[in-house]
Amino acid sequence: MTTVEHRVELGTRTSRALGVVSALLIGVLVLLPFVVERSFLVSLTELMILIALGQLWNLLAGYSGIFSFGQQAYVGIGAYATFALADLVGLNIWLAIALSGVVALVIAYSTAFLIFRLEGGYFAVATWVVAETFRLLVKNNDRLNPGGTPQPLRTLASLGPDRFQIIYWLAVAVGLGSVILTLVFLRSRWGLALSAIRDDEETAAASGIDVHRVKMRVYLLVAAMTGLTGSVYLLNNVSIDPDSYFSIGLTAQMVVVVVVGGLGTVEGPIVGALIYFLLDENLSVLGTWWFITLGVLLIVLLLVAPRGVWGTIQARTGLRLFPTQRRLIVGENRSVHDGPTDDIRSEAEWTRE
Amino acid sequence: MAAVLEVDRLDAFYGGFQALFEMSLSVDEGEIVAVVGANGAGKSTLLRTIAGLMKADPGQIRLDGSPIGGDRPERITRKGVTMVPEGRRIFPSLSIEENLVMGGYVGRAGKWDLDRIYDLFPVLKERRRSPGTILSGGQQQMLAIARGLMANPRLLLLDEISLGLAPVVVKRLYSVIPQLRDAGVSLLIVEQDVAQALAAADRIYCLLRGRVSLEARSEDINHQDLVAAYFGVQ
Amino acid sequence: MFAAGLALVFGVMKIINLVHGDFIILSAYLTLVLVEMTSISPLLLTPLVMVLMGFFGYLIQRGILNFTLGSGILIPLVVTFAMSLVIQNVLLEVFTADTQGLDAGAIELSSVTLPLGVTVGWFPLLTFAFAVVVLGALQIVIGKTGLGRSFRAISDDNEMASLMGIRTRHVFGMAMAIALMVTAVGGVILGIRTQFDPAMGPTRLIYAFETVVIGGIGSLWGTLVGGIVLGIAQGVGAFFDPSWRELAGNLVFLAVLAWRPRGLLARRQT
Repeated sequence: MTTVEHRVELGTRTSRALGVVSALLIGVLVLLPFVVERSFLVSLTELMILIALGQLWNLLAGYSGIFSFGQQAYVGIGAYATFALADLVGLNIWLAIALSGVVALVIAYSTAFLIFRLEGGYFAVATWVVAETFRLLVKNNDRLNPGGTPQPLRTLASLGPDRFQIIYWLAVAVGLGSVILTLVFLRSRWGLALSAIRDDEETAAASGIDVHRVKMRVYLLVAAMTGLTGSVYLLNNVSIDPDSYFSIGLTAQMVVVVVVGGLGTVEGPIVGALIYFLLDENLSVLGTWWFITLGVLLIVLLLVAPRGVWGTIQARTGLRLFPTQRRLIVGENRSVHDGPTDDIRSEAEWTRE
Repeated sequence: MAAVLEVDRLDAFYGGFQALFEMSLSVDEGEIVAVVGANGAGKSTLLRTIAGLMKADPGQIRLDGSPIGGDRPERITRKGVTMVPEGRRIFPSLSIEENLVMGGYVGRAGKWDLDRIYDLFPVLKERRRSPGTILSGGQQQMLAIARGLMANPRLLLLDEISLGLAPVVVKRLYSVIPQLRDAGVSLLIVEQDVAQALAAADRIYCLLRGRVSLEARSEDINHQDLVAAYFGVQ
Repeated sequence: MFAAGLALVFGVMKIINLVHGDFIILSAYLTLVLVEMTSISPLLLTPLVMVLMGFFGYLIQRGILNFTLGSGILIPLVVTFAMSLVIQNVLLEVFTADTQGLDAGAIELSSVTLPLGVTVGWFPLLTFAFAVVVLGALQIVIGKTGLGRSFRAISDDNEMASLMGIRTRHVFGMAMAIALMVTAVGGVILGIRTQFDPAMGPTRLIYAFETVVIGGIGSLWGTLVGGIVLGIAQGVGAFFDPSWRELAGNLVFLAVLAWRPRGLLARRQT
């Protein structure tokens, strides 16, 4: 089910070495279900989902400059699509899962023309409003949300007795898939267009790049993938309800994961997801104090190290696990870098204040 | 005559890219100094750094002997260096008079006030309550210069005031310049139009790729030398 | 009728609040505390609340938010989000999740009969009057005072403004202070009008935002119009079914976005 691409061509020495290590790591991940116990597996599944959501949000915000506070809409849509298709309509569950991405894509396509009329912070809140609208629509729908109580996914059982493993593998697929998607996208000509747009949108447009189309493409792709992730989320959580699945809290998690890890880097969301996951597992018992601490930590982190944990490491050492920069070797010792700039503060470095 | 402005081996960077290399120049009291050079030579970078919009070490820029390099832009304006930026940059939400008042915000004492400005630029007085955007390009440039004067500067930095304007208009603008000098303002002018620069300034610096390639009094300048310095032909 | 009354009230709450849903709730709680301490009617305490929130706003801006500027929009967004998280949970800790209310006495219930036989509650009317006064005051500050001039200059061209010698950091602080003062009024009114609890902030934020977009980004009076439109929409929705209130508002918002993306009263300025 999962295939691993070699990322050899544009690799650095470090990344090539790491390519081998990663292949091993992935092998370990895949084989894990046979050696660990179920509760650990469920936790890992959650982690994988978190990584997926983080990567996808990063692709939007960190690389494409699209700050969406409404991705939870697609999580919910994907989950409800699977629920509706499998439980209510009676489709085979595998089909229902696969179609969740398609449904998310279609809906993303229809709302996109609306929200892309706004920019920046307004765009962000507009996406939030759209997500809220979906939440309310589902909440008031008697078929999807009868009686206002959480609905179990009854057809879950049809996955068979090994379902925890299957769900885990699906989660790994989605997590890996989003990393791979990010890499593939960035290294394609769309990725080049993205970095051009990020550097200077007007010039990019003047150079013949259809800015709108590139952004749309990213947005739709991410929406579809997020829908799939939502589906897996449902599988892991068994029951569905509109408030949890369309919750702004999901975006909050995505944002924290990406910002803590490092916006605009591929490794960042992975690091961020790990950190957040560990913290959350251990500290969430503190209830409100956990949130307060989290909030304060976030603020401090953003003021002190806005590039995030990995981002700061990368800025200091130039270390890259996943090569996304295109290197043009001119002569023996000189190379010119071109590719997505991970430097979100580059503007601030030119001028003060 | 004492130097109003000294720039001493200034380096300037845009991120990892170096724009100015150990640049040195000076402006004496009552002088009009022009800086010319091809695009990308570093002219605007120089002015922006002097004005405080870009980082510099304190000792690299000195006003009347005291270091101002790296100061915040508002402090530099307060100390007596005012910038009239490239592209004029009038505040569209403010009326002409409000733009002028903003220019004087820094509160330096001096001869320039609204009345004197209006004497020098009568066209601004006529429309003073209208938004600055209704003015023509040349008039907007006048407004920008006037706004700069309201700060009562010792040194006025003019960045490409001829940009986008018809030659006739440019001539009219430059006719005002000597009056500024007579009123006690020293000037550092960045100018695309070399002929105009030569006509207006006492001394000229030519920049090439971030370094000074030529410095001379405008009356002493040799045309061939200038061309060589401008384009970097060996 | 009912909807019109709601519209008047919603008109105020939304316009007074631009990005600070939780600040409104905070203001409400602050008023609660002050009322308990002094036993003065909440309406009369409004000026004090305004001043306190104003200080708070200035401190927050200079202490935290000023450092987030210039690095793109994400950092301020996440920082304000984190602040929202902290404020909500601190309030939760201190006041618990129970709902609270402010009591303004008889004025809440009395009504007045206008010509044409229409009966309007005193309170909504007062609220609307407040709104108009506050907006008017804001217009004057922005249009006629030096501070307002600085606001306009900075919003036009930050760099130029700082070249002119405007202490941008201080002016930003003042802008936030004023915003919070206005927000405080909204908070007091909210507290009087409905029960409130710590988690209400984000919804207020959405309403406020919808108001601004519907009315037109960049137009102060547009926000009033937006508030009224939103209020009516929500009132109509609630009329059919209480749980449809928010949804109705959202749908109208999306409709305006589709039909007139710049808002109903938009100005050409950014």
